[in-house]
Amino acid sequence: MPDSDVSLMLEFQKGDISSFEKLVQKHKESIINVIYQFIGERDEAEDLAVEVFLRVYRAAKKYQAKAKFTTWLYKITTNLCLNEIRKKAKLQTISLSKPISAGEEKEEELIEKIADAAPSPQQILEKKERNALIRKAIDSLPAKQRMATILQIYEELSYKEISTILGCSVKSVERRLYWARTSLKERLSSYLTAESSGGF
Amino acid sequence: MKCKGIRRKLVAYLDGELREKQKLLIKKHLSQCAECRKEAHLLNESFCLLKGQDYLKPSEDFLASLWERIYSLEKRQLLPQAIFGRLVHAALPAAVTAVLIIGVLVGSSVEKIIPSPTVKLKEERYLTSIGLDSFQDLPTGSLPEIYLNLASAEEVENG
Repeated sequence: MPDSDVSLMLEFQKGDISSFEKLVQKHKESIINVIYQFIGERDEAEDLAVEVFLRVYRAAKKYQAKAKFTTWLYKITTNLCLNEIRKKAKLQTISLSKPISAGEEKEEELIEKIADAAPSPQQILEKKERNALIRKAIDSLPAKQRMATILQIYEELSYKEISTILGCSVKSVERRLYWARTSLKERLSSYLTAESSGGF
Repeated sequence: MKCKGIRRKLVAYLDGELREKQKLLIKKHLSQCAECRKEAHLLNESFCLLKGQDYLKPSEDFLASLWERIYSLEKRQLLPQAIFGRLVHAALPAAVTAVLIIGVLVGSSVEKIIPSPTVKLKEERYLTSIGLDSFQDLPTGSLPEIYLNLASAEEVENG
């Protein structure tokens, strides 16, 4: 089956700007979320997502439909995220032990997100704490383990696709995900119940 | 497969990334081993916890920011400096190659027209300086030279 995104990109290459708009509309949410899960800051995630689509726009002339459009798009996203992490590490402004933003200035954002369910203040607090712990657990992963985990859990990509995006073997993806998930399981143990329902 | 080996494959198993044979092997092991079953359950639970995270909605001004960036990019590309820059960028390697080719061609034709006597002179001087201008059958200090010296001395003694 032909990749409809590839067709849109080829249309855009011919000068049809509405095809580019369609691509942005279709993928902006997942790209923002991948970056958000990786970086942990909403504003920064949106800025980087703008940069991702700007790169798509600029690369249109040279674009060749070699793989799935989303693989290419996630590759651009991953490279930008990894560069961002490197830049931050250089500036020494990032620390794995830094307070989690989701638990601080993003309070209104969190309330906005859970407003529909009308939870009690206790539930809001619990969710805030849990989100902070999850954020901290994700932040603690090495960059490539983190990206592989995000692409697998949130974007539901196969190991093969992740290996193409990260430029490594499928075995390496398997290893990264094994270590990442083992580490996440340990860090989130306070929220996990040990009862096994079976059925695996 | 022992528990350790099974556990290393559990994540791939839960993600549905194993081949049928391995999948059956692990499934069978899990039905018999409570510890590995517990491990699989915890891994699965942590996956669900992560998966249950809220999905961000893009802010309303996301598209506006993108178009603003695209507009300023287009504007910059239309500036005369940018056009000149692109021309220089494209023409510079070609110009350097042309100059090199012309240089080599002119150099070789000049050498053909005006043979340089100074080069030969320099070459001769150099050969003289390292002692290669005259033929020496026996280098000084060599074994053949010592042998010949001894033989001629013996000849003189014998008369």
